[in-house]
Amino acid sequence: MSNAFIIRFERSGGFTGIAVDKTINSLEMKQEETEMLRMMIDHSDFFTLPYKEIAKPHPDRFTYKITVETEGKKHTVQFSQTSVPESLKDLIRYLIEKTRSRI
Amino acid sequence: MTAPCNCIFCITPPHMIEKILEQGTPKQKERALKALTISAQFRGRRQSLANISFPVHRTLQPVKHRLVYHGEFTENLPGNLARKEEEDPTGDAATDEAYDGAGHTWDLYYDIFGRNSLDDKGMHLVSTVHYGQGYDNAFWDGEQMVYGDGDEDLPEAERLFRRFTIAIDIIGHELTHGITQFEAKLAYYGQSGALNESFSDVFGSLVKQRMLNQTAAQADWLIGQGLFTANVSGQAIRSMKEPGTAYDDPLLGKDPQPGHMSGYVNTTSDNGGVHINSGIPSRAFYICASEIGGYAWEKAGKIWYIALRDRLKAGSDFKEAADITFQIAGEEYGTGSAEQNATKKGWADVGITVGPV
Repeated sequence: MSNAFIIRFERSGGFTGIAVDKTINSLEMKQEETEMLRMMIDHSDFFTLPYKEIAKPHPDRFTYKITVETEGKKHTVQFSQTSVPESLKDLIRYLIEKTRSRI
Repeated sequence: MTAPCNCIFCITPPHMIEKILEQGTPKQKERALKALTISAQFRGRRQSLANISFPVHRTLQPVKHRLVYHGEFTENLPGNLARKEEEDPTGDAATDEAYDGAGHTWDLYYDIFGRNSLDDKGMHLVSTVHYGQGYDNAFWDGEQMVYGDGDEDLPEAERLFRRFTIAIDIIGHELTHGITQFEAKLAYYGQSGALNESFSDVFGSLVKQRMLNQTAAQADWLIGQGLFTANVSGQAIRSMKEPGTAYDDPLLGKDPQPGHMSGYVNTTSDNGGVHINSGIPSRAFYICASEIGGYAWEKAGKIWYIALRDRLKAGSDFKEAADITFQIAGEEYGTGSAEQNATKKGWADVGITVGPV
């Protein structure tokens, strides 16, 4: 993946039930960070992941939904906290930290 | 802790223990019973002791068995043991809050409802604190409680959430998910999921009210008060008394809970809005308890507990919960009693009519 990309990260559930819905645009980021994100997306084989893999819901766990749009293609995946593929964990950790609400 | 026959590590099948229980000497029977109980507790899950008959009278007085682990800021569970039952406070706030909160929750269920831990068989209460980094959540994973530190890794001026052990009702909430898992098994989606959430808020609130010795009138009926930092415009995560009013913050948004069926939120997010629509049955409980008066755990809590333990099922919806609690109130306090009328009013005020539609 070499062109610009947009990532939408949505998180729902959790004890508070307070949703997170943030969008990241590579054009608004430093190159270093953009490269790192590209590598994570490529490493996860994002565009081949199944749309939805939700384990039996456990109380107060998070559900993550990620949409990546780039090079004319768009794909969305949704996982519960307990069913995130290993290959996607780095990306999710990064997105959680990036989109953490801060004053 | 080691079992007399070290049943955790050796292979002593239940049928062999049952033989000992039937034919052993009094001392052998006592040890076999203790070994079974300890094994079930240590595994942290419900042992199918119900299938084994106990010809001897159980003399073991139920006691708490708390274990609090330090997650070392990783997501590995359970972590490193930080405090076990009857050990002195550690000085780590999260550890000691998890320990105390689990104790108060156990006390409510045993002292008031006669329940011996989450499985009613003395199950260990296992908690992990300091889970993950910047983890703004707490959850019940099917076997234990898990608590994050919120934003305590950030500079104070940037924090929105404090550690999740800071409010005792959060601890009671998570433990009650365990009880629901063993009893009604309310499916975690849609209305049954919202009931699941509501029951956790109900009993979490009762743990807090009992600890503070508050009547229904004195209680604030807030869930998670103290979790937000001063940087957030909000008093709590949820309000059972006035759903939708707990917070309204420029970053976090507004409390989305409805307090009436007319505001029911149809969504696929949050497992069908389980943390949103729980406001409706939670307000029904608040109204019921307030109408009855006195301590909320005594009558309203009893009605709700019996519903959770004996009547509700995986797919129960709000209407079914209303009918069940109304029926139980009649059985416990009489048809047409003040308690039954209070139950009916609670549900009516949130837009649910008990009885035939």
